[in-house]
Amino acid sequence: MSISVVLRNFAGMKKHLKSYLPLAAGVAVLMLWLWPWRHLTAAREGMQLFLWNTDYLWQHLTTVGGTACYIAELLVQFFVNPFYAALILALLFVLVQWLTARLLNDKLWLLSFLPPVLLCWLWTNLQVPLTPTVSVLMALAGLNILLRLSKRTAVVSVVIMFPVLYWMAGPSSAGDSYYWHREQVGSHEEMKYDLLLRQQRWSDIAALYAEKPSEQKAIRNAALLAQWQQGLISEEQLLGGLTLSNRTLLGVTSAFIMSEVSLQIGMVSISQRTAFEAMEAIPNGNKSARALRRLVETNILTGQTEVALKYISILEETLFYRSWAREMRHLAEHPESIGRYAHYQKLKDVFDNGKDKFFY
Amino acid sequence: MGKINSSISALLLMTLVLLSCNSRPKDVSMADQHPDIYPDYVGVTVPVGLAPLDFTMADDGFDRVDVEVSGQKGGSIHANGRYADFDIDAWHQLLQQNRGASLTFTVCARKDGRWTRFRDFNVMVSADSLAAWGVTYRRLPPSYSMYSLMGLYERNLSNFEEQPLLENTMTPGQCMNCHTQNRTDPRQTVFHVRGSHGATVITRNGNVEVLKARSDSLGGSMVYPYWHPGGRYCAFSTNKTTQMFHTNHPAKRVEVYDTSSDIFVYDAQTRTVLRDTLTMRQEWSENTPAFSPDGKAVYFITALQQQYPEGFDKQLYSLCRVGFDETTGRLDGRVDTLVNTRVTGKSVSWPRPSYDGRYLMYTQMDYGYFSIWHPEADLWLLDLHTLQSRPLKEVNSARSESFHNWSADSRWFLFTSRSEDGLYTKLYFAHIDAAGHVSKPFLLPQRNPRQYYRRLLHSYNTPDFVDRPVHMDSRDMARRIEDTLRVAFTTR
Repeated sequence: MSISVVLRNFAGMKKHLKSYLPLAAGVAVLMLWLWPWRHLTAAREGMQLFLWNTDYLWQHLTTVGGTACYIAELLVQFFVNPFYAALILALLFVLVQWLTARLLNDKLWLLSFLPPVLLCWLWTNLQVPLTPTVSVLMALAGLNILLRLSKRTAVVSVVIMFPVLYWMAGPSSAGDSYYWHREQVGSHEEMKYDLLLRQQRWSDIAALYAEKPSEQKAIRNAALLAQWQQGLISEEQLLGGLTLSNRTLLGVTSAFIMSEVSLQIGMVSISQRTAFEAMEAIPNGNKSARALRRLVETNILTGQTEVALKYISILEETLFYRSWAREMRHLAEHPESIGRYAHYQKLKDVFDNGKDKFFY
Repeated sequence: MGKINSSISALLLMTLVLLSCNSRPKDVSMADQHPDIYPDYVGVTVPVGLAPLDFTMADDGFDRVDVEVSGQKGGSIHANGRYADFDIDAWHQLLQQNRGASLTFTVCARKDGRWTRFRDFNVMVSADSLAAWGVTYRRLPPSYSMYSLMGLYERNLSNFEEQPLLENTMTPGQCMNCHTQNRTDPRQTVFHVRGSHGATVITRNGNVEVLKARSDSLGGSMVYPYWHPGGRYCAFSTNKTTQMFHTNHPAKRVEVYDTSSDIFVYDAQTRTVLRDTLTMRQEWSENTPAFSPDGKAVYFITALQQQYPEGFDKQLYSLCRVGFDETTGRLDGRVDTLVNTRVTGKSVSWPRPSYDGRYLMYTQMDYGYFSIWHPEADLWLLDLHTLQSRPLKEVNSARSESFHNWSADSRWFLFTSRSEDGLYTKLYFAHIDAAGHVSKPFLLPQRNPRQYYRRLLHSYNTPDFVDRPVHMDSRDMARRIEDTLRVAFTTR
């Protein structure tokens, strides 16, 4: 084979590479986020409350960086579904790569994968919101537009575009739009357990713990619950082993774990308290649709239906919690119909008939 | 071109007229009852200068209201929309014109396309001015250990404007407490900051001092403050506060209590804690001090300290008064018990004397002092002439009422209540006349109040009237708090 043929083949491969490599990378990103890292997207979704109303939109549009933040939150609300989450992240990856590639010449084409790879790495850090990704996208889109304008138009556009872009995608004055300084979101390990708990995958929790025991109290509590659910330990052993430490309430994920564990064993008040702490531990002051959902349940169970209705009316302004909230509105307005929900009826019986004690 | 413009204008005008016609009441049926509105402003008494009483129908099924407000002494205003939203200037003019008279509200509301006219209701416009520019308060989630966004705010009562004085986004991880001005004058204030950069911040005539949060000689922090009317002294409590949670209580979530507490006086002029004002009684816990308006006495509460958790519902606080000599800064040692738990079997908290010296308002509950977590907590009024107390039935509900304060002329008071949903504390106002008659309270007005309060995930806390804007430089204050520099104070 002559050198010219090899070169020709390489050029042909490169052409195909440009089409297929981003696609392959996108599929790889989708797979990564759909399976090994799905607990991270679930945890991210649990730390926000995205409202479909004009006030919420306006509140964001009128602050520096608010537009990027709004778009980021709008996307993250879809993370309630792991497939949507993986798909959105894969699309963001491909989009960033494509916009970067358009700014580079052929020789540097492979470098266009650097920004999306870096962003993909940042997505695994839950102290970094999705906002910087949206900001990067907006900046890349702006640059692409500028480079296609004539020189004179480009100068005028820069003058207009820079402040507009800064307003839409710049860092907020509080400095929390790109990075949350307070380390309260929790560890990846906790997020794994949290997701398994929500899915009630008791054998997976037990297996994970057996493979790598943890010193973290929230995780140990989750493992104990899993053992009890599998009939490996008695109720006395479970209750004797559980620990509620204020340290577990300082992190969003550990507090959520405690809320899940408490509700599973019928401790409605503890579940309520810990869900509230989880919401208040969110570093940027966001509220949480997941926490509000739990608070609706616990307030109905403890008979505080007016508070439940307040949370319900807020959740009715969300996309993914709306239908559930409407169902709960009926229950809150007609608490006597709780018998239709066997799980809630059981928890209510435990709450109503249990002896009042104190926990700390 | 001109013709086209005229045609467009005419078309727009016609559209507007048609639209407005469509939303005006027609084929109205009558209902022999007052409208059920939110907030419930039916029959309340308001001061001249208050922000408009915007309201909506309590039933979400009503999609439009049409409201005509007519003054007894003349004037009228009209509102039509999803909620009654009155023009601020026209509202103020109407109130001014009807001082000491009543306003009549005629309400029509539309539900399922049908209009209903309700029985008219009145709102009284008091002859007494409010004697306040606005209010200050803390706004925070009704939380336990963690606080996301919280802060100190001021609110102009003549409109809907709220300004943050200090938010914890500016001082991460800190919790701000009890912004307290001297007889509603914000030129002299004190507030406490908890957290790693804890401090007690005192402002006197523009001079800001950031004191150490804790003092070893006190054994704690300066917590619940109250200024001496002369401005030199500030009474504080120092508390070791903790909390425990109910597992299965149908009405109570948490018990907030002190394992010990004491009161003392701080001399802001010499930066000295007057140790001999500490009562320092081992078995008794003193708390929530307040100077009398003449500055010659300190009101406080005291209880025999119980062991927790077993004695949680046995810690009953009595209301006491002790003399104070402002020339020496000393308590005179003679203590009068004004409300005795042995007689009432109840516990009292937050004594707040009216500035004219006529009354003292306090919170009464079954036990303890941290009233916001006690649904049974009610406001009581002690007549300082007769020393007789009465519950303020006009404002109390089945849920917690507390954190009350007086306007400078003692004709208005504010308080917080959980009456609406049992958890989120809201701010209410009521009028008290010279004979001690108390009006029906009204909720702090908001534009589109239903939406505002429904979406609000914060409680109003430790409110107070303020006679002018506070003018706090938030950034400078945050910088001072974040700084490690603290003014030292001595003990004597």
